[in-house]
Amino acid sequence: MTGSMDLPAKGGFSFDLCRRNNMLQKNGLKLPGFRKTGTTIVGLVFQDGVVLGADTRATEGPIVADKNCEKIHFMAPNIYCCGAGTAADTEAVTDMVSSQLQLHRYATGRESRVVTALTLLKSHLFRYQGHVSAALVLGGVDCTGPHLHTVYPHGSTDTLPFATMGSGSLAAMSVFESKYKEGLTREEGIQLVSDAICAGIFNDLGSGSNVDVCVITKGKTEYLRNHQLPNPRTYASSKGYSFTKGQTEVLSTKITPLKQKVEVTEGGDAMEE
Amino acid sequence: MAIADTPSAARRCSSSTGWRPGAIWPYLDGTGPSQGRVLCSRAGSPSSSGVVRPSPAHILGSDRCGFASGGVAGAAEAQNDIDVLNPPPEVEKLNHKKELLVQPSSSMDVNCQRSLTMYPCVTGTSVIAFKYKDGVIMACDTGASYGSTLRYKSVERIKAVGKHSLIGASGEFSDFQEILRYLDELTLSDHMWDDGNSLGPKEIHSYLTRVMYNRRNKFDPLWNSLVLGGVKKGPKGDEKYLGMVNMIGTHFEENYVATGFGNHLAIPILRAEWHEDITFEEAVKLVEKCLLVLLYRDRSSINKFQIAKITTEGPTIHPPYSLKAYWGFSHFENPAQGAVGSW
Repeated sequence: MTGSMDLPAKGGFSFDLCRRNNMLQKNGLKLPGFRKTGTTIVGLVFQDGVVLGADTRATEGPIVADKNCEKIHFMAPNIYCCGAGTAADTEAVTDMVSSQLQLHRYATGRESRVVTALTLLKSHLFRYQGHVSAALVLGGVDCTGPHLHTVYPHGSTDTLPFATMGSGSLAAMSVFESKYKEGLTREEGIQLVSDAICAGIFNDLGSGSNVDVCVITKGKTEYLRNHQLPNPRTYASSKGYSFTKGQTEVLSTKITPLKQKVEVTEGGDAMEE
Repeated sequence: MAIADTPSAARRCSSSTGWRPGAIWPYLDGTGPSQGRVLCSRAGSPSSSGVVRPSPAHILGSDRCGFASGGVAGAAEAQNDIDVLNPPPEVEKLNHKKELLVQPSSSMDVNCQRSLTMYPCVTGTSVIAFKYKDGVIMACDTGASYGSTLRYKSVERIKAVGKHSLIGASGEFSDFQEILRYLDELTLSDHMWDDGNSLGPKEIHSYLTRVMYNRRNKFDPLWNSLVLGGVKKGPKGDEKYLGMVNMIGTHFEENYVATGFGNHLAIPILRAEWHEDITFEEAVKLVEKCLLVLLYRDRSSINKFQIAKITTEGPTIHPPYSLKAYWGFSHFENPAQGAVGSW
């Protein structure tokens, strides 16, 4: 006769591991910190150059910290960089490399190349072993042609015809993988990038708000800020609120004239330099 | 095995309690759902098979089929007069176990601790499905991985259930086989009612939901994400149904579903491009689009897919085929063309 197998185990939560976690914390274990995710950034190469795209939501955990932030950063007049990951890290690292590129342009007298920006970024990020949490999509057109690269926080890079990064990267990549082909025109490229960002916005919780697009071609860069606004705010009345005069009842009126508190003396001491 | 391993054999052996579905799958140690469990849930009366676990010798040596029936026939009469309102504790304990259609996962040795599912071993990747004009279309690849190796390359992860439904599963493959066994029992016992009614997709989805959730509550989940689709005639004509259940019991009904990586890669495409009453040709194109993206971007996917559809005429599972992948981008050919020597 079987004894031990007769009663099924009781269900419900077992708190044994909570006790263990508390014990570990008391002994000095640091629990893993919160990582900031939440972006869809994309880039693709079309026939004349590069199109970059990004959403505009910045999150702080579950809260949307900035509804309309700028994720496409300036590196050089012909090179732009989208950044995902910790916002401070992406800003700082792109600013730093942008100034280095400017100094380099003064020294050489030539237009910056995309590989220069790439090498500066990857050597900086590698030196910090992934602690600078910046995942970037770098794109630009220089004398050697259009280039598109992705840079990962630990310093590795890829050279690709189309790239996505961020938490919405899978949704955006599904759009790219099904619709990308070589030799797209400018309109097709912008449309595809917008579609990919919209896929990220609507299918990923960490991405949202509007679509920013940047088109870089030889000699010309167009930054289309808020190219699409697929999440408009809808007020009850399109004209907003209007309050006509007399709508609020005036109960009493009291007028107090302000006394002059400051005396202006002519010919005082002039301010010392 | 001598006894009852074919339905015809079982039927030939007559017993007072009749042939029980599931009597053809005994476990080696004598336990098995045929121990009157299915019958109990319907008839409500216990059988004696829970009292004595027949040893293997008993099963193999007996020349009477229905090792359950032999034991039950005699004991059932003896136990017909138990007090149902205040049953003795022995019977009560057994009843509680027997009313479960789902047997707790038992390890080989009845005396050792029950092992609970901690992690999956052989896993299938995504399944995608959506409703189209004539019914429901479902597709998946035919691979099953053992950790990070692609162990099996010709695995059917979509099966027909009855006349009206298709089930597709991702996750642990052995648990999927177990679920198919439960569904077999369910459809067989439903067939035995012989009332012209058959289980539709809604009913099977509901059954699977209960099974998955109950297993999760015992911390012993069936490690699967299941997709259940079908068409059945209802009061408003042919009603298409598509639902999903996962290993913790979350379930919902939707026009398009995907499991695993399909959630991230296929659902955005389906959300943008699915529409009501899509034709079969368009549906296949849409499915292939999703499967191709999954092939490119899911590491456990292989280039061998099966498409299945279910319509009012019944389920059809097409033979597997491959998709053409495109690798000819110029940037793939020479990534360092801009700066020779860089990487």
